[in-house]
Amino acid sequence: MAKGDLMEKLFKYVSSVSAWTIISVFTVFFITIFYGSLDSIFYSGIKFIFISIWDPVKKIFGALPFIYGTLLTSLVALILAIPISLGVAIASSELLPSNLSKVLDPVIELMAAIPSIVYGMWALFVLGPVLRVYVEPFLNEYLGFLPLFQGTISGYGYLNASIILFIMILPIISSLSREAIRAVPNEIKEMTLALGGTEWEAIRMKISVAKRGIIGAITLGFSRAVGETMAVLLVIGNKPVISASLFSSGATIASILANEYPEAIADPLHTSALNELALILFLISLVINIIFIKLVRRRVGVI
Amino acid sequence: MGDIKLRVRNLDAWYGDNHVLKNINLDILSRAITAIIGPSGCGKTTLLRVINRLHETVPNARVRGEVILDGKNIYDPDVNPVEIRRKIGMIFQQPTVFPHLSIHDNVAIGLKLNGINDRELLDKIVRKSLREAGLWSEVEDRLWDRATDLSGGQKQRLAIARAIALEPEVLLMDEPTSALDPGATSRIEALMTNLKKDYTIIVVTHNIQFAARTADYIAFLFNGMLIEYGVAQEILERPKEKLTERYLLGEVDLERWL
Ligand SMILES: Nc1ncnc2c1ncn2[C@@H]1O[C@H](COP(=O)(O)OP(=O)(O)OP(=O)(O)O)[C@@H](O)[C@H]1O
Ligand SMILES: [Mg+2]
Repeated sequence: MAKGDLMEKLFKYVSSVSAWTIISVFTVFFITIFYGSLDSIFYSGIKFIFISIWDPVKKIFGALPFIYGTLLTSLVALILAIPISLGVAIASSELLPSNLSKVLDPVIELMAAIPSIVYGMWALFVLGPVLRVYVEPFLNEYLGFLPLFQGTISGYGYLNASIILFIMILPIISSLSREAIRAVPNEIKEMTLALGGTEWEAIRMKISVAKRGIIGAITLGFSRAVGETMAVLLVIGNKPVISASLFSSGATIASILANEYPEAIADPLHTSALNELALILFLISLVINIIFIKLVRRRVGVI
Repeated sequence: MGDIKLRVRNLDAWYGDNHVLKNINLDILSRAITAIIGPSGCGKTTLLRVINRLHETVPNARVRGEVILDGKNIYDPDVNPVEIRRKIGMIFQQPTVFPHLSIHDNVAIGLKLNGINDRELLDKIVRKSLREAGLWSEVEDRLWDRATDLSGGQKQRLAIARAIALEPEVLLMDEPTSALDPGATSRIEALMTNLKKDYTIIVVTHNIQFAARTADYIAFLFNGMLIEYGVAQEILERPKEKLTERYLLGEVDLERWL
């Protein structure tokens, strides 16, 4: 047998082993979390996701405030991040002179590499006071007719967490979208121009070609926001409440897990309830990814 | 001899410091096919891109001189390049499709970019253009599938359909038959002969037989210079320049004839 054949066999073998490793790790992970949740599932039943009271002492476990907090902060972060990161991506791939994007690109890369505790501390010591003194009073005065901007001003809570999440997912969505746009061949732009399209229409055409990659970037950013723990833990207040006000304290699934694990060890039911929360977090990520796949696989068609 | 559609006057073009076209003077006749021939890298594509003002979209690319379309220099400051590109269609050397669009929309896209949104009208023009490009029978059952699945030759004909859908006054074709078999090539030849009743066609080709069969006029470019230009038959049978003759005979090392 030739040496090349052997290498090829070996390569195939190694890569299929790696693929199966991932699938097994995933399965083991899922099964153990599920198994850990069983007590809680039997104890609380379906009420677990519909009750908004979380009181481990009285053994009442309702996950709704955390589901609400997770989705609210991630969505606000995403709503802020999508237009800005697309702007950054388009600017650095299409509009900025190349020496300027040579500065911008590594800055974005660096921002993505900062550990989340650093973002959390910044949100705690800088963002919180700024929100309390300037931003929240301003929002309250001018947009106070919306329930979102009513309530006690503290500088910490959903708004702070949403903003720090926004800042954290901004570099991820920007750099991945930028690469997706850069990967589109320049002929797409030239062909559009040659058909009588304007410069802007040509850029838009490149963006539509890059749409899959951009949706992927947004999904990754969203998943990151949903799962982010440390920074949120420091600023959200960690109270299991549901409030329409962005100024209110709250909690997310990830932050409550980190916050309560130490004290839950003594109480098996409490631990199991936290496991069930982890399971829900897992399912939320799964749903986000399924939606993403559906979006990407959508049939070709309209321009 | 018909009217002159396009006059190229004292035209120079650069990519950065690379002087690619050198003092080109060329009159393109209306309702005729003009073939541009010459060795690889001599500036054929660049000449086409200067004529539809695409050249200037490349960073550091520069043009000097005039291209006069129907009496108006398209490089005058008051001319909008977008308007020019609507009148002068181009088929690129590399057959590229819009990968996110269906076959149908790959043809309709030019019309949509130019503000035509009426479904029925679009469908009608798409069908007509695909027929003229000789692609209709191969795609009529899968108009709404992705265009990326087409073969190289089919993509090339799709590009032709896309360009003629806009009914441009001048059609620039950069090697339109490089990926086609003899059957498809002769269909394109028939199409071009048909199109020249209404349009002015400039076609770049490496294929001398193709030029012989389709072109009314031939321009021979070498090293960015226009060496010889005239009626196709004369150029092919009795070239005045030694260089042209050598090129037509397939000689590779042309520099020494310069
Ligand atoms: N985008 C570009 N940037 C810099 N130089 C370029 C660019 N495009 C072409 N050139 C250079 O300009 C010269 C002419 O290129 P052009 O594409 O016009 O040749 P061509 O005659 O079309 O060749 P071919 O028959 O191989 O297509 C070549 O030296 C080429 O390297
Ligand atoms: Mg070329």
